[in-house]
Amino acid sequence: MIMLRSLYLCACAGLIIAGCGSSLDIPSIEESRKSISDIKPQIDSLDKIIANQTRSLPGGNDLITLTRSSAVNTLLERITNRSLKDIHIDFLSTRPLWKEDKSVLGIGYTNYVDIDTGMLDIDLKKFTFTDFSGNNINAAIEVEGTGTVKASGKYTGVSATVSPQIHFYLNEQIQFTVAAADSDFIRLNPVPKTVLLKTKITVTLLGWNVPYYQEIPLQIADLVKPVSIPSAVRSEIIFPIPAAQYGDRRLDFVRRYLRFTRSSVRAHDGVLEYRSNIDFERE
Amino acid sequence: MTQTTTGHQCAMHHRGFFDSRFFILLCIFLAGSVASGCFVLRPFTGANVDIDQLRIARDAKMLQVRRDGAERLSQRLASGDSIANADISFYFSEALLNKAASQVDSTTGWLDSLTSYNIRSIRVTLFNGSAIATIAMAAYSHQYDVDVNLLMDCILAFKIEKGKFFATLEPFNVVPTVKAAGMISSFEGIIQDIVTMKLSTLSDNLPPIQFPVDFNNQFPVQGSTVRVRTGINLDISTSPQTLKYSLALKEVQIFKGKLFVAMNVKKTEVTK
Repeated sequence: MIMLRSLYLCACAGLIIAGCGSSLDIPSIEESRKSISDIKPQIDSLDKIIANQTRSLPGGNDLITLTRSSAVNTLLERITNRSLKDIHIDFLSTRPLWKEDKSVLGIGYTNYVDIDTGMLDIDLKKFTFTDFSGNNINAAIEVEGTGTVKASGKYTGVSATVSPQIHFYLNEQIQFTVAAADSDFIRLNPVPKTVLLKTKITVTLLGWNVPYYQEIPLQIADLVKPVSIPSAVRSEIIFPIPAAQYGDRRLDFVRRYLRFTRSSVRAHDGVLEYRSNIDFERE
Repeated sequence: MTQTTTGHQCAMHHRGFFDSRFFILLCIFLAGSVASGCFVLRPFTGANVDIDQLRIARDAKMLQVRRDGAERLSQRLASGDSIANADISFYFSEALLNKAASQVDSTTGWLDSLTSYNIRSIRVTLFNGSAIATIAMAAYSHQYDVDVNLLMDCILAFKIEKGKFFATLEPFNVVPTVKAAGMISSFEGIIQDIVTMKLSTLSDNLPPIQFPVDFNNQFPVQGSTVRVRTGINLDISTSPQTLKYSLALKEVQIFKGKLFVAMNVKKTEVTK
């Protein structure tokens, strides 16, 4: 028993020594009252100053995120700069690409050029969000690329094959609407629009120069799919809690799922604003 | 001081614990401590004081913490660098922090093999410049069968470690809650001192409040195929890609009722 008490005293001593230097004297009631009466007006004054400086801060939901368009553009830049081969084009047989009926001395013949096959990769040069306003996101998209295809044809009755150069260019303004499901994602939906892919092929077949220029109409909804951007908030979380049993491990961990409600998203003043209320649900 | 033990149990403990030899040893030790310039001896406020004195001292300390925080925040706001100057800003409501903190309500942990604690509730209040969590808890000495109800005030310190954003609880006030006002008897007080001293290590054991923020994100960019059959036959396709990016913490500020976290995009990567 004495041994146990001695051990306990030693433990106390250890704890007490550990407490040295961090001891806290309790002030008297009068000292505390004076301190409170001194500090309270200081806090009130600081709160007033801060309230004036922070009037525009958003509130009203459990979670609000503000993402600047410049941040999204930093991410988009990474996609556009990654490679010069962002968009792949496969040429299928086009018969004819171009033809003209001619007649010499009453004998008719047809000059024509066919595209036989070919493929090329073109560059997504620019994809930038230019403006967040009116709950829409305006974006600029620019695509350009040059390559060759295999073509064949007949000119004045003589057959030949060539590899003409083909050039594509697209530079358009497109628009996205923003939407938030009750989840940790913000969805950007492209607004339907027809954009024009400018196509120029320079074919020279047996001295015959065929000028081919076409603006190919493309539906932006076919080209650009909806994008779901994470709100940077997890939909599940592992919470540490105290370990119920004594042992080496001081913490246990429990999984909770986040339930998002009253989610909304708004694009305005160069900012994408996402709001949601969050509840934690057990497994 | 609130105790759930009966008077008889306490008396048994007191008789065993404070026999004359032990008390002499304790006095010698305390005298030695004082002589060496280390006076008692609690990292926090604790037992053996007038409860009104303790309560008002707690209020004063809380106000000091709030004043210091508000001063720092005011200086930050006056620094000229707008807090909006960040890639992504998060505002977490006080209500959300309380929902997160409440995940540890009614949980039991251990200070050591003989002292357990039960967190009854955590209430987080966000002031301008400071976040204070008040934990209502009970520490229980299994050795002495003493149950001490406490209110512990903690400053929330926000940290990032291993890609996780969380708030650690750093106690600055521990106030035993009492049923009867007045001085606590020295015997009970010393026992409770022991429990309180053990509580000084509690900050190492308290679970942090975890935030559901992801510093490493990714989102897929879907591929597409467009068939063109007008004038020229061609198929245009883009490959699906995944854009990965990580965020770096810029700053954390606490405003009345809300926590502000600013982050910048740190690293981006595209994979197919």
